[in-house]
Order: sequence, then structure tokens, then C-alpha cells
Amino acid sequence: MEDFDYLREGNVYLDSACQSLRPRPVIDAINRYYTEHNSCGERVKYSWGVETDEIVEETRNLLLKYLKLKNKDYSVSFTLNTTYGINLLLSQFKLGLFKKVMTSDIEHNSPFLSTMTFAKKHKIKREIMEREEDGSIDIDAYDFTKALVVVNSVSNIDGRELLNVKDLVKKVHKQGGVIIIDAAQGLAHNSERLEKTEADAICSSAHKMYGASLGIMIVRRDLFKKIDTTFIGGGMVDDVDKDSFKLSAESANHAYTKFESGLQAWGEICALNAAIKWLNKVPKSAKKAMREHEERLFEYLENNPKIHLINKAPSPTISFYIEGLDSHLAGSALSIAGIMARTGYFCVHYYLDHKMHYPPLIRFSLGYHIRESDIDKTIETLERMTK
Amino acid sequence: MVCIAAFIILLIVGIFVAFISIFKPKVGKRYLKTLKKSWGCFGKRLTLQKCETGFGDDVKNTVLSKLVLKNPKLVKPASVAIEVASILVVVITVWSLVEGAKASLALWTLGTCNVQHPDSCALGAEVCSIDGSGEPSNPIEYVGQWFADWGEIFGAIPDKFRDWSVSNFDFTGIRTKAEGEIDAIDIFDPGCVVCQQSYTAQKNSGFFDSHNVLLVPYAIPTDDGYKFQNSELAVRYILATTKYESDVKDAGLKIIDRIYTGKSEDHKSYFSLYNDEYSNEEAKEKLQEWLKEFGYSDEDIQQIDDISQNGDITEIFDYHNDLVKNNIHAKGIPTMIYDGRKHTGKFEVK
Repeated sequence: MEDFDYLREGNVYLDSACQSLRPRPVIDAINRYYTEHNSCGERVKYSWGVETDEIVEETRNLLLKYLKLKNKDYSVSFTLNTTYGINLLLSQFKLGLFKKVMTSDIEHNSPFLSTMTFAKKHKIKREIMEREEDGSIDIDAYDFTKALVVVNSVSNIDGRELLNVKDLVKKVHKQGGVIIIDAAQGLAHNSERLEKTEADAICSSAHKMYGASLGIMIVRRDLFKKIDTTFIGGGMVDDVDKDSFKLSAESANHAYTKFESGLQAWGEICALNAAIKWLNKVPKSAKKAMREHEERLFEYLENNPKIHLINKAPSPTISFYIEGLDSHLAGSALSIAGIMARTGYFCVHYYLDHKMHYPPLIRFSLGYHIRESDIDKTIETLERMTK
Repeated sequence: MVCIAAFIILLIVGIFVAFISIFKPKVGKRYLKTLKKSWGCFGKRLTLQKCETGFGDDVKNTVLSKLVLKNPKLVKPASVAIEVASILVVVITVWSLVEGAKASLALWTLGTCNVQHPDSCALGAEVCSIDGSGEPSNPIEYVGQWFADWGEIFGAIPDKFRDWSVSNFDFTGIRTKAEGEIDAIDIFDPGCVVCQQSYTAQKNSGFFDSHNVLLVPYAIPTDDGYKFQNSELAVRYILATTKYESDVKDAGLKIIDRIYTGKSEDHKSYFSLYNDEYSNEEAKEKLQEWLKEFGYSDEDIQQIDDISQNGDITEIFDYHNDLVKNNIHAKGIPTMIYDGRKHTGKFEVK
């Protein structure tokens, strides 16, 4: 795509699951903030600040529209990243609300660890659900009564989706539970899955959806009453007395301040604004091209006898290992060839290392910047490495 | 193991980097950064912690990653070679450290860094060494000897704190002054060149005039006899003169002086002749010739010869041997006990 015109021929970037490559409009947006309306957002009356505030407010609405969620039901806050967002929620839930906390086996350490500490703090049971090969959860096999459920919508190992996310949300709610979706991998290429999903909270990262480094929290307004705000400071209050304060979040228009302590990353929010607009305009041909790249790469990896593929289906995120070759070493070799890919356990130690006993893996994660020649080069390099 | 080996190599490289960084400070900063990273990995490995990728892997990957692209079939053998080399580096380093500690401790306690072959130690005093038993012929013997060395080293540690007054030792020898208290004990071997140099230095510096030294003749034993071929004979004759009553004075001292400082008619050193050229019979003839020259009759000489071969002298031999090896733990000769201390090596004129 021409929006990635800065990407030199020969550089193959395959780590979008961690940091997607930013298209020109996103880079321009953050540059524009710094060069044209650098300001102290949400506090000032001067023109640059007003411009920033307008973009920030628009970004919150854009995100809701992106997932087809209603402003009256949800509030959008910004934070550092997905992990930070999940922890902000889990660390501030009132005590005694839940009988157990549940997560799934293929989770990133972000929900996997935070549910551990949550269970300890609330002195409740923690249950790990098994994900099916297609990424769904057998919801009939579990009891969600008064449970806090934290699961991803898309795996960062192999891109498998939580296919029955809507059914899961419904059942959890029916049984009086609360569900938080880790959508770190879910907003760039699989956002349709989460559209109109009435999860209690969706946490994600702008830097995995072509934006700048930023965390996103989309939280149901009725969840607020279950939160005891303890992470608190500037930008969160309307009034402060000697020993008391009035939270701005009590006003519906400023509900987002519930999780936004201190000054925010205004430039990054402006970049996210541009990223969502850009994603909304990605042409069908680009989406089709990416699907073809995924399929081609999947087919090659599946048919190479020296490669053990983790994926069961093509996806923008593909993990594998080469028989008899350490993945970190393979990663270094790929880097010499100009191919940038992640190696290791991708912060999913429990599932990959302790449950499945896989050696460290290589992960290719694609984005809209990928060219046909990138896939050619990747396949040709892997061919050399496995001959 | 690569991680530990890399850390060791980096430490060694640090010696050179320290010098280079005087002129190029950036090199030093970069080195310290790498060393810090390496230390982190080294620490994790030592505490058996697991990490996704460590410094060791980075080092290995840097070496092998190009090979993965060029000839992947060679990666495994090359990787094994790196691991083996790393193990060797670590084993050699650990072994060197242990041996270094052993040598240092031996130098402090025994005066030599080589317990079995003391004269091989350049750091110790110059001596004629009292070597250990023969070379081990198999690994088990080698290991046994290695531990025995440690035993000997630790056994000698109390010597560093004991009272080395000459009155605590009961040696039989030749006094340099007939009267008065003994000031120093000097254990020497008539065949030892260092003893010869030490004796000459003492004599020339006037040490024998100012001090009453008990010269203890001692033939350094070996597995199959004595280190110097005619030493035993000389020691027996010197000791025999002390046991034979006669009007002749200082015969033992004169024999020592003749061997160490005397010259033949054709100006050859008796030290060389006696130790290197004379057979045992010729040495005996020469000793008897000297005794006659000192004033003994043929009958006296026969008596001295008889005494030199009797059990009393043999007992003194055994007793001295036990004292030298197990009491004063001397690993080389000359050894002096003087001024409340044990001195190993040549006498130094102060």
C-alpha cells in the first residue's frame, strides 16, 4: 500500500502482532499534534487545546462506532496498553462481587497473570477454560455464576478467534457474571467479531491497530458501580475538599475520567483517530491481498516437512518452529535476511511451554503493509534455512 | 554454558579494553554495557533461572545465524562445537582458579607453588627440592595425589603460627662455634648447589662469626636413593666425626667447607668433582684423604668409616628425615630456622 511507502524493498516486517507498522496518515497525525496543536488537553481554553479536545472526543466516538457500540452504554478511556487497562479494572473491583475468576489456556500473560493476583486478592477460585482448536469455548462445559471472565477475542499465538464470543457474553451475563475481553489482537483485522458484543469491558492497544503506542478501555457504564476507584489523581475530579473529592466520572459526559489519571498521551490519541479513519477506508483489495498472503504463507509452512506449524488455519498471525533449529537462532538468521519476526513464547508461557511443551516458536504476524515480494522473500529464505 | 564462557572471555578481554579505553572511552563504555548484560545472564545461569533468550544465546546466534542461511546442515555440528568449546573454557577456567588457589596457598604455607616439584616453582625461593613420590601412572593415582597435596598444604597452615625458636628443634649437626647457645639451624645437602651458594654467602658475610649456626647435613631422599649420588656418604662421614672422640677439631665443618669452597690441585672445584665426577668409591677415598689431612690417623679413619655405616647414624638419618618432612614441612633445601622464623632458600646478606 502506498501509505507504507517509506518501507524499503528488502525489509520484511512480520511483527504486526506486537507493533503494527504505521501508515502515513497516522504518522502525519501525531506529527501534526506536535507541530500544529501541541497542548494540554481537556483543561485549557486556548485554540490548540480546543482542537486537541475535539480530536480526542471524536476518537472516543470513532472507537464506539468502529465496534458498533452505543455511547449511552459505553465509555472510552485511554491508558498505556492492554495489560495496563486489564489491571486497572481488575485491581479496582470491589471485594465480594465474584465467586470465581475465569480465563482460558491460550491467554497472554496480561490476563493470565492478572487473574492470578485477582484470585489471591479476592480469595476466590481461579478456573482455566480450554479453548477449542477453532478458538471457541465450550460454554456448556462451564458455570459462570457470579464469575469474572477475562478472555481474548483473538490469540496472539496463531490468531484463532473466540468464535462464540457473543454467546459467551450472553451466558456470562445470564449467570450474573462479568466479562472483560482482551482485544489486543482483535481490533486491527478481526473487529467484526466484536461488533455489538455487549461485553462489560474491551481492552486493547492502539499500537496493534496501526495507531501510536496507546491503551484503549471500552467499559460499560453500568460496570462503574462495581469499581472502587483507587488509582486516582489529576484530571479525575470536579472538586476536592480537605478529606473528600467528587469524581468527574459521576457525570455521564466525563465517565471516561474514571480510568484516566493525569495527563493523557494526546498526540497518540490523535494518531489513533487517524488510524481508525484509515482502517475504515482500507480497500477491499487490500484486505483480499492480505488474506491471500496469509493463505500462501500458511500453505508453504504446512507443506514444509521440516516445519512444525502451530496454526490450524490461515491467519494474520502464524506461529511455527523448525525441527532441529532453535527459533531464536532462526530469528537472528531471518533478521540477517532482512525479515523481522518475533521468536520465543510471546508472553504465553503457560500454554506454549508448560502445557503444550513446545520449544520457543517463530511468529509471523502480517499487516496491510505486506507486499507480494515480502512473502516471496520469506518463503525463499525459509526454503534455504530448511534445505 | 555459552553464557558462562562468554562472561569469562569478556572478563579476560576487559584487561585489553581497559588499556584501549584510555584512548577510546567509547570502547570502554560499550564494553561495560556488554559486560553488564553478560553478568545478568551469568547470574541467572548460576541461580538456575530460566529465561527466553539470554546473552549466551545472543552470542551463539551471532556466530551461527549466517550459517543458518548459507549451510543449515552445518548449524548443528557448529552449535555442538561452540557448546563443547564453552564447556572447555569453563572447565579450564574453574580448574585454573582452583589450581591458582592451591598454588597460592602452597606458596604461603610451604614456600613453593608446586607441592610435588618445589624447584619448578618460579615464584618460590631457589632451592634443591625435596620432591614427592614418583609421577602418578594412572588417573586414580593422579586424583589421589591431587588431594594429598591439598592435605599437605592444609597440614602446613599451623606452621605459619607456630613458635620457630631453635631451641624447639633437636637436630644433630656441626656447630660453627664450639661454645654458646645455638642461634640458627641450617639444613643443607652437600650435593645441593643452592646450599653451596648459601653456605658461601653466610661465610663471606661473617654470619658464622657473629652467629652460632648448627649446620645439619641432610641427604635429600628420593624414591630410589638420594637426589645427589655422593651426598649420603658425605653426610654419614660428617655425622660420624661428631660421634668419634679425637683431638682433631672441627673435622665435620672442614669437610663441609672443603666440598663447598675447596679446589683441587688443578684448580677444579671440589663441589663439582665430588658431586658430578667422583664415583662413590672415589668420593670415599677423597673424604678419607681429607680426614688424614685434618690430622686423623689411618686407624681413626677406619673407626670413622665404621661409625658412618652403623645403626646410630642410620637412626639420625631417619630422625632427620622425619623432622624435615613431618615437623618443619620443608619442601626444599637449604632451610634455615633463624630469628623465630623458617627461611627457605638461599641465605640473603642483609
